[in-house]
Amino acid sequence: MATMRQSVFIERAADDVWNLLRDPASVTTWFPQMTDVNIDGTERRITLASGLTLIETIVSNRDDLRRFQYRLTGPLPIESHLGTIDVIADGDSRCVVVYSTDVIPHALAFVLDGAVSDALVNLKNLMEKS
Amino acid sequence: MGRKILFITTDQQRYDSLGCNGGTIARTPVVDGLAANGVVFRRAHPQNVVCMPSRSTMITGQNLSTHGVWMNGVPLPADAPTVAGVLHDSGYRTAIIGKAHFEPFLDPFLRFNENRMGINENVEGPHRGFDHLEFAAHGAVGLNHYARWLTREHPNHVFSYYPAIDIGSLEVNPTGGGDTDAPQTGHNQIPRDLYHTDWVADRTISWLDGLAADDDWFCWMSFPDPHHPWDPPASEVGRVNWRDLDLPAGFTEDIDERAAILDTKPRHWRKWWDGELVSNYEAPARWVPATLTADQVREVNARTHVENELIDEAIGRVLGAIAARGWDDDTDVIFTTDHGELQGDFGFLFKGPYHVDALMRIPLVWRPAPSSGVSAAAVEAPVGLIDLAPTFCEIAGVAVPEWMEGKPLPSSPEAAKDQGRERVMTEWDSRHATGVEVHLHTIHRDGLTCTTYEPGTVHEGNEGELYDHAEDPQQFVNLWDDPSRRALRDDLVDDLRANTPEWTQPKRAPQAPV
Repeated sequence: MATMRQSVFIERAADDVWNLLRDPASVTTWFPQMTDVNIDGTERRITLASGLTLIETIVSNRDDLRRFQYRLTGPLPIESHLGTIDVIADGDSRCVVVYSTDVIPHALAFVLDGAVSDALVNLKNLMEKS
Repeated sequence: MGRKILFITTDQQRYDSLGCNGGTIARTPVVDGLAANGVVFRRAHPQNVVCMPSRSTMITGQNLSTHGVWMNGVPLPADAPTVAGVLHDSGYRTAIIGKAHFEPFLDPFLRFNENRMGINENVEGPHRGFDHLEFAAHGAVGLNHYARWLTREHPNHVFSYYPAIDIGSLEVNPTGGGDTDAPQTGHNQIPRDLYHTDWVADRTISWLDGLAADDDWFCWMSFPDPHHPWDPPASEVGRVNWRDLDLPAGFTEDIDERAAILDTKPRHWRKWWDGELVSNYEAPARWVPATLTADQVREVNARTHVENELIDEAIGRVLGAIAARGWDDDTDVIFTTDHGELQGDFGFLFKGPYHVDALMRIPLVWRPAPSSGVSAAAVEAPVGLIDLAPTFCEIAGVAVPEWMEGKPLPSSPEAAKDQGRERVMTEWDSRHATGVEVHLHTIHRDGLTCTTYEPGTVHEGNEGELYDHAEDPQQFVNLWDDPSRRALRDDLVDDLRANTPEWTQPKRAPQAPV
């Protein structure tokens, strides 16, 4: 299992950031190259700019922990995947977002982690200007 | 009107594959002819032995520590300075046709411009200084112009190619599809004129046809072969019968002798051979090199020779088109590759953190424009791909920018001496997604190759390799621990450390395995 982690400090209260991330449909507003999203129960389908549609299962969405977890199940050749987003307060008006990726096959680790790094830059920009 | 520049690269081609470098199997009369009328470099090294770092050095004229592309999967920043940009700004028409690989190929999110250009079949720059860009890779699957064209125009041949990537693991496919079950071999039923080698030549000729007679131009024609998969068109495979081939000198048929050679080298050699270590993505993770048979080596070599012949013939067509325009007298032609291929040496295929001639010694031929009056020569002094970009500037009559770190290639042994060329450096850093890290630094000087290792997950940092090419051209005997060579080793290590470019920036994260 390849395990990767990205993080970003955001000059906003943890609850503000979590209010965005807890909504699984908001992903198109902060994750680059995602053009459409559909939620059906615990299934999330995300259409990429490339035309590819990612299929995911939402594993947990915990307000008490400010944690969102999902599994990517297709159409990329995924043997195992868990994406975990944690929002951790750093005082009243600052937080850190930690985005972890565990994946098999290994070859996807850098691909997903690279996209996550872009997403966190976007997220920071979005939250700090609003 | 100035000198025009045709820059030809292949991918993963050995020095000894060409007739002009002693090759005896593949017929390469076109490149041999360029060599006979130009400058042949006997000791050219890349600054890294995988594609993206090496190509980034070619286009920038910079060390890895400056352009920052330290392993495959790390993109060259879109705003990195390039020699194409310098020439473009000096009035040259500029194009790159074929394999670029300045950005990762595996890109489902379409994060990289070159992949977006490919999938949208956009050929117009400016991008990295090129006015015109048409990309190809190693088959019919991918985010590039060739794949899109073949899918659109000849969909029945999209699956003629061997599947280079295993779709289940996204790793290099370990299965064999040829005659001997060698990995990455396949019977490709694609007609020759649809194969990517001929497509690259066709598109180059098409671009040249669109230029005005008095245009100055720089064209990087970049063939994806002979990089694996080894699946040239089936119609051409009969050119070289693998059953007729002698084994390469670097392949020891006795498996115990092969193991003994590896045991004198730092441990990652043997661990890869035994299937105990996956340090990088450039070879199939599930392939065990110790299983490589003599016939598999023969088949891979035969198919490689066929691919090299097709490239040579394709170059001949392009040179014919240049001559037909009346440009030959004013056109410089430079032929090289990004790195070599193990191709059976030591019992391995593919590439990785192994700084031996199979991967580091590369073909480099420069046929100066006949109008320049440069005489034919052979240069023994070490040079690097880092020297290409300054050479292009000099050919174009443009000042070499300060951000380039190489020197214009010498056109004669005397010029090499005047430049004080004594050494060439190559480095390797890799970090696999599983956490495996390997770090090598190499100097070649005075016919000796010396490699040091930094601490990683495989090495302690005190390992090394030392080879004397005059007495051991196959690099079978590691002299690192030979007491009689200790003073020489210390001198080389001091030289290496004094001349290794220093990293002053954090290493950027890889964004894909390749």
